[in-house]
Amino acid sequence: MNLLKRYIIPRLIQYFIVIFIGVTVVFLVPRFTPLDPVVTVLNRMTSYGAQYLDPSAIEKLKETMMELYGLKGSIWEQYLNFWKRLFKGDFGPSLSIFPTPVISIIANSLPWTAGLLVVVAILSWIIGNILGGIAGYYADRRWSKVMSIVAMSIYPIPYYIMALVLLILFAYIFPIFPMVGGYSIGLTPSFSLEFIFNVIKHAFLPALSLILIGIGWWFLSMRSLTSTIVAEDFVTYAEVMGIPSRKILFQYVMRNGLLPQITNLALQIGGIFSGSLITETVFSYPGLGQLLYMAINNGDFNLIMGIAVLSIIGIATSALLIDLLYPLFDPRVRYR
Amino acid sequence: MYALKVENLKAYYITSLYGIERKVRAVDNVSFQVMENEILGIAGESGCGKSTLLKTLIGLIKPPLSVIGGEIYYKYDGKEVNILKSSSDLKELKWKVFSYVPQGSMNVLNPTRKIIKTFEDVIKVHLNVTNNDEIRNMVGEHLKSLGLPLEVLNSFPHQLSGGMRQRVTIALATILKPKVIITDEATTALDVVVQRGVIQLLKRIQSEFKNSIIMVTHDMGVHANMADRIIIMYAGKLVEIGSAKDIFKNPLHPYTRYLIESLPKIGDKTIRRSVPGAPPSLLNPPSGCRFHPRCPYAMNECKEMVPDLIEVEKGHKVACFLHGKEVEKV
Repeated sequence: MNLLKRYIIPRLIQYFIVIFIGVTVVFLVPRFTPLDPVVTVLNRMTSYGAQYLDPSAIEKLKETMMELYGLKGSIWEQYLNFWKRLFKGDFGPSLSIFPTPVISIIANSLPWTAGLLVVVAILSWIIGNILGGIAGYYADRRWSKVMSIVAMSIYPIPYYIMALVLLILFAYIFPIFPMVGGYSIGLTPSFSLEFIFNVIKHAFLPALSLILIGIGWWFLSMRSLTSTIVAEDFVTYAEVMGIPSRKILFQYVMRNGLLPQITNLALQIGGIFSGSLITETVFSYPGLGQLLYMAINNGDFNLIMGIAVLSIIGIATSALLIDLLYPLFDPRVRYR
Repeated sequence: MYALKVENLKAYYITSLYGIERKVRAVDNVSFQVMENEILGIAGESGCGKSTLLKTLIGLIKPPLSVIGGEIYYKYDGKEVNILKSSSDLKELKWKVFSYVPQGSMNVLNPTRKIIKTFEDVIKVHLNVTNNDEIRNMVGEHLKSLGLPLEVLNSFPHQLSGGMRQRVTIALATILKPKVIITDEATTALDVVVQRGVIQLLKRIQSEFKNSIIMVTHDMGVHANMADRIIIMYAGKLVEIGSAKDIFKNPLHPYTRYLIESLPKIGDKTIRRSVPGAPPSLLNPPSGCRFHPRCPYAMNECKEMVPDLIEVEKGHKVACFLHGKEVEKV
């Protein structure tokens, strides 16, 4: 009971406040831009040859669109309406792919992005941290120095170059992996083995490019965290006690070093809802990043807002989860 | 019978920066023995090599510290084992023959694991016991015999007070009933009431298990209370060794005299004098006797030659030209 009152409830309140403020900002920003989406669409329609429309018909069209886009009434009415629709999961129709609802466009792209990026985030976290911890603990071994040099040379490579090189190497020169798409054209999405294998094959290069960079980052940060923990008294004392070094590495050094890394992983997983634009562009992979890019280019406010709200909820939720789970990893924050 | 014998031990900190080598002679030609069932105190100013000496005794020799020469023998199963010769011997001896209570036990326990886990680690390594219940019983009995509450086993280090953490560390160091317990400033940083508790705990362990304790502290009061024999170190050298009574009643070395005279005495209201000057740099120690720049009795030979440790009375040795003319052989 005390735990609920002092630990969980304050964090839940904080969670809702963050989402509230974030969503409000998402609502306000497009309304302060000089672009008027309705005028944009009307202009487009006129340029497509609808010049001879009746002025009253145009007026009617305008009104309908205002309502569709949630631009009707004073800003307060719009705001209340926006929340009402949000609770129903309704972000309105997309403006560029009219009249498909935003929510179903996102639902189409989300599995691709989420599937790829969650796997990538977790894999590179695990591999990078274990390697970094080992390299930091045995810092004066030769192989540890070699590993550090490799990580330090991979990490600063601009991501798009890495992605392009991988694509050219393994899809063009050695055509092992497909060049574009999430799955082969002609296949219908299903849970058959063939389809799943096809998806993995398509996702391999994008995942590899992201994992390489990710491992570089996790490796370097974990190695520097470890190198300070190795100098702590409890590690020295464990060595004096004769505890085997493998046990010291995992139970004494890494266990403490991973604490900040867990927080970082949670934030990274929360951040995947904004997609990964460069990966998706280079590998022509269907996903939220490309969707967002297209939405921004086309002034598709509803779609932008939909992705932004999703992203806010994603980051806030994973921050909340890590906050609630953190005492399991670090006993020092228990019940505080 | 001795439990630990140190012969001509030299441990230097060697660093090299831009090809210039620096040698800090923290322990320079030190020999002594620790008898079975005795408490040996080691005293000296900060920076005189006490902690370095202990580090070599427990085999914690990591760069930049390196042992240049000498031997450290522990008695194990009736044999003499030199821990500097083989690392597998050192591993074998750890915790079973000697254990260590470090300086500032505040941070020596893993902050993210329960205390019992550390006990489990130690016992699993050294005793080949794998059953956790068995270990828990064993540790529980040990804690009970030391008068510590069993709840500490399921606590995390941050939930314990400083004094309790120190006592847990002592329990950890004595769980396998080692022959020699090496404590480095075990009572420093604790308030006097807790200090008393810790000292009493150590004394009780000693009288119960009949093991030897090497106790480093610069608190002469603790030495007077605990130690059977006392070693006085100065600038990496051993300058005097004798029974606690001899050291306090009849200090021979001028440095020891200063140390004893600086202690307050009941009824004596004269102003206490401290040792003039400051301890020398071990990077470039003075020639001859290292104490001569601060010594009121310094003679010409003190500046040129290093006095050897000689026995003046039975069991009371001193390295000073005031008491003998032997020169140290290097």
